[in-house]
Amino acid sequence: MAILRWTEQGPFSELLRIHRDVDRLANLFLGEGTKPLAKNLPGVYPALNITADKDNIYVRAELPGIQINELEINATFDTLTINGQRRMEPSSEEISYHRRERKGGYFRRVINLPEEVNPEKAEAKYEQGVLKITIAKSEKAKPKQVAVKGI
Amino acid sequence: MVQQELTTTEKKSVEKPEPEETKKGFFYQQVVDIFETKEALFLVADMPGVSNANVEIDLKDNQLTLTGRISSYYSENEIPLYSEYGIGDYVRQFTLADSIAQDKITAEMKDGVLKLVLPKIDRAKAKKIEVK
Repeated sequence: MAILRWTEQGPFSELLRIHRDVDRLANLFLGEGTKPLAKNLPGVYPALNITADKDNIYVRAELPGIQINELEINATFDTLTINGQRRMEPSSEEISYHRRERKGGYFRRVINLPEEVNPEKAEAKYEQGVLKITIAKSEKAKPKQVAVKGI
Repeated sequence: MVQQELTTTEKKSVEKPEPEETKKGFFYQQVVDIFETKEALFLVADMPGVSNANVEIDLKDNQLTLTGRISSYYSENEIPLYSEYGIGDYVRQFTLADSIAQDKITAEMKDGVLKLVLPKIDRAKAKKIEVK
């Protein structure tokens, strides 16, 4: 099982930053689609997209055709674990396959979150085959505006 | 079925698949299963992020085109931090055999999975031949 280390340092940090900016721009032209930055680490499922706004971190995964009771999601203050399995219709002698590209099986993924979160304030939604996990940023991780006082 | 651990396969993208497509950019290809029983052909396609209303099934001269449009994937204030998969519209074309009863095709979309049932014309259904 691979644990994704969150790091802004290292040789790719600059690339990551540039990609992030480009991606943000690309999103402005909605409907043109985006391509992933990371080449997937082998043995890792599902692929994740992580976004954030002022209050929350959002983790999304494409998991088409999954039973929600087969999903287990756990969060701590800085990690997120997604466990589950995807069942395929069992094949029988009556059926002959022409193409079989869809895959079933179990999966487990643990990631380090980019910021501290409050795991008590987390929710997961499954819609149109996309899992969306929303976790509130922890209060202390949020930027505070510092008022400047005149003398 | 033996359970195995899933690994991610990168989504396959294609540049403008048809000349009549005017949209800019690229499309992703749906991952599909195609299987056959005595009565019908089944096509199951994964298109996560596509709602029922945004699926288009087009049949012309034995060419079956499955299109899925993505809409409002992210909300406006979200800033991408990390991305392992791309998001975009889906399209894939298939050529149907003459043995399909084209007017009887049915489709169902659930949880990002499109399931098409393509019944065979009676003439094409395999008859079991008893050996006496």
